[in-house]
Amino acid sequence: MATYYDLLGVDPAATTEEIQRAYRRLARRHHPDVAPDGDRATMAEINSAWAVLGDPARRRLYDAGLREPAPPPPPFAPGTDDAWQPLEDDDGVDPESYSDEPYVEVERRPSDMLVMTPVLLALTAVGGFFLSILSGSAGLRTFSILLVPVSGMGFVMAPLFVMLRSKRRSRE
Amino acid sequence: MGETEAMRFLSPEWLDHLATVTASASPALDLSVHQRVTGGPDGDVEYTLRLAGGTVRVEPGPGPADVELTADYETAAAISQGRLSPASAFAAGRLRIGGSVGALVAHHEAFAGMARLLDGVAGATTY
Repeated sequence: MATYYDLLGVDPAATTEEIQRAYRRLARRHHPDVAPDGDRATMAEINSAWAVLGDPARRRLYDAGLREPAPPPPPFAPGTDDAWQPLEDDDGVDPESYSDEPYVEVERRPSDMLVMTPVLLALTAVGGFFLSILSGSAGLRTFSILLVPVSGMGFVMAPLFVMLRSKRRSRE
Repeated sequence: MGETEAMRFLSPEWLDHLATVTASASPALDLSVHQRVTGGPDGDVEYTLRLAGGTVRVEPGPGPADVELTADYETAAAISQGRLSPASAFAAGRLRIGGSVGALVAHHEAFAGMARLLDGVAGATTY
């Protein structure tokens, strides 16, 4: 039987803060108000797991129960009379704030680099052009002039690439 | 009614017997626990155990309480008979607990004493 720890993808020895981070990450992926393909049934399970593991007393009781022999399966299946609904006290976090999570920052870095590439190319082209004038190098001047349309293409392609990748991730 | 006479689990007679047995307890804590059992032979049954001032009262029906326990009939019967622990039922999603779970966990020793008291009730119960 999958435990709430399995559901949130955390170690049973995880701290409450680690569990909360995992909960928010999954909520951002599955919350119907945040994710385009949000799944209410999955969100109900995630909420149930957080309601127990996020509360020290409930977690102690849950851990004690896990240490005992497994009983028959539960009758309270999500999707019946236990269908998803926002927690009464929720977790005090607005879904919009999920974007503050560290993993978002990690994902953002490659995109930032991609956006910066055409800027760097343009600066290289301008710098190279002035250097070619000072040095009288025809080769450097040609290279700098060729770099201008390349950086221009980069300015057009980079946003399109980022947009396509974002759409692909939201589908996942 | 004699104590050895069998009573059906959660019947009005059973609740009366529960009140009689628990009246002898003198718990050193103030706490109320409401239990709701669904899907029984007579439908849903609710009662509240009120521990206050060293006494225990059993109140049939709904009412405000510090802790709310909800389970289906089979689970409640298994817990009552000692075949399933409350913690195990909770971990399996068969027992739902609302309200002040912290108080329940903090006073587990007192509840263990109550459970021993209820063993006699289970022995005179039919399920």
